[in-house]
Amino acid sequence: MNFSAHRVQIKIEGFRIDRLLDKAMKCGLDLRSIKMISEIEVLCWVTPDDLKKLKKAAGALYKITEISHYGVEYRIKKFLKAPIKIIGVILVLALVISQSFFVKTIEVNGYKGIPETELRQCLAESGIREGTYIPKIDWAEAESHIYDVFPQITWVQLVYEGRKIFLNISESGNNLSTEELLPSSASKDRSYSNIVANRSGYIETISAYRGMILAEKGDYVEKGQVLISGYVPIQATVFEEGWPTEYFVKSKGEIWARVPYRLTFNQERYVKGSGTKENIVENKHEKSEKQIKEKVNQQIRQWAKEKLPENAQILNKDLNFSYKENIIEVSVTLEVRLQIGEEQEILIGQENSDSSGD
Amino acid sequence: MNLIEEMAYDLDFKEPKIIVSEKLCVIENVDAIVMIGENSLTVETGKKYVTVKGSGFVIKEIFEGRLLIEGTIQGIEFFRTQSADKNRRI
Repeated sequence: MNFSAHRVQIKIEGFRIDRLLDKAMKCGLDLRSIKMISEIEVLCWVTPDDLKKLKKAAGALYKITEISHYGVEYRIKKFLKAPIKIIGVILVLALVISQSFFVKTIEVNGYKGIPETELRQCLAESGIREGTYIPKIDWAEAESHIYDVFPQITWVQLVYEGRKIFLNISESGNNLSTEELLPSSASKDRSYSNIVANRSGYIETISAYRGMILAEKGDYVEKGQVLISGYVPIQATVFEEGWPTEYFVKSKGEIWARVPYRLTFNQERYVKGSGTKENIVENKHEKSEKQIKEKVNQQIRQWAKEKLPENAQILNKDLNFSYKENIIEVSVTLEVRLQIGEEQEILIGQENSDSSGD
Repeated sequence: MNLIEEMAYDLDFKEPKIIVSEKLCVIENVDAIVMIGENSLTVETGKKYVTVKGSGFVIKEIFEGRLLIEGTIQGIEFFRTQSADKNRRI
């Protein structure tokens, strides 16, 4: 056992080495693999403890040279004496272990009508993407999110093997009935929807996270116009009958638009002066333009607070005064930047049934 | 060899006990190493000297009176320790 732990190869030089070996044997030293090189040279293996005793027994008559060290214990001790190596090994191990906890690739299988990019994006919304820390993934939430976004999916399996994530899905057929596609009262969230304009205005930016964009920057859109459609036509990439020609999603996006507002505010033309009671009429004097503007601005702020959403920004303001007998009518034109997108549920088959009814 | 003879043989620590093949030789009851050369090795047991002749010897183990030799064994000789008038060769 000592030999396995640590052994030393030595060379003994001197005359009558057999005498030293005899002495070593009598002392109970464990010498192994003794090889005669010449009459005055011998190679052998010995444990470090026995080497000390052998050197003592050899005295000045023999020259003992250590040639090499072997053994597990020796290797470990040598390794522990080199801190740089230890740090290097720890770093490599840490790197390997830590890397094994992060997602490397995502494989999506089983999709037909839904594009792979949409499914990947849906996973990304649930926090599953390349480089995600695997233990932190909420698998149930991710599956639930996929069901929510794509109601046509009937089965989802989200598993991982090593650093690879597999998303296996099964879609329902193309000939779904309206009842199947329409949201039930119990699960209202699982519905398809468009995003429509809730105000008329000029599109400033439009970006869709899901769905198909139907308007461009600079377009003037009317209230109720579909801006992001939840109905997405697709072209089949394989020649197969019954392959879906479209798919539906719950649209999601952000639309900013510049909306003009025309408002009219009235205010008194005259203000009371600081005269005596006998001279009231004479003490009234007309409001200055500055006073009118201050009052109008106050009225606009009040109106914006009540009517506009929080994230709305008033970009431009134009005031036009018209003086009447005792009042001043102020026409205000505002240009407001705000989000105009609003979800509108898609009722599949509704239009056709109506037209056939007509 | 009956049982008593066998026991007597096993318990006799003065006689050399040798296991030998063409490439290996084990000598037990070694008291001392008398001489080690490139082509021969002589050891002393209680009553006899034993000389192993051959080439390429490597003493694999030398511990507690037991000697294990590897190499090409060509012959083994026994000598009396007290007088050299009688020897035996195998």
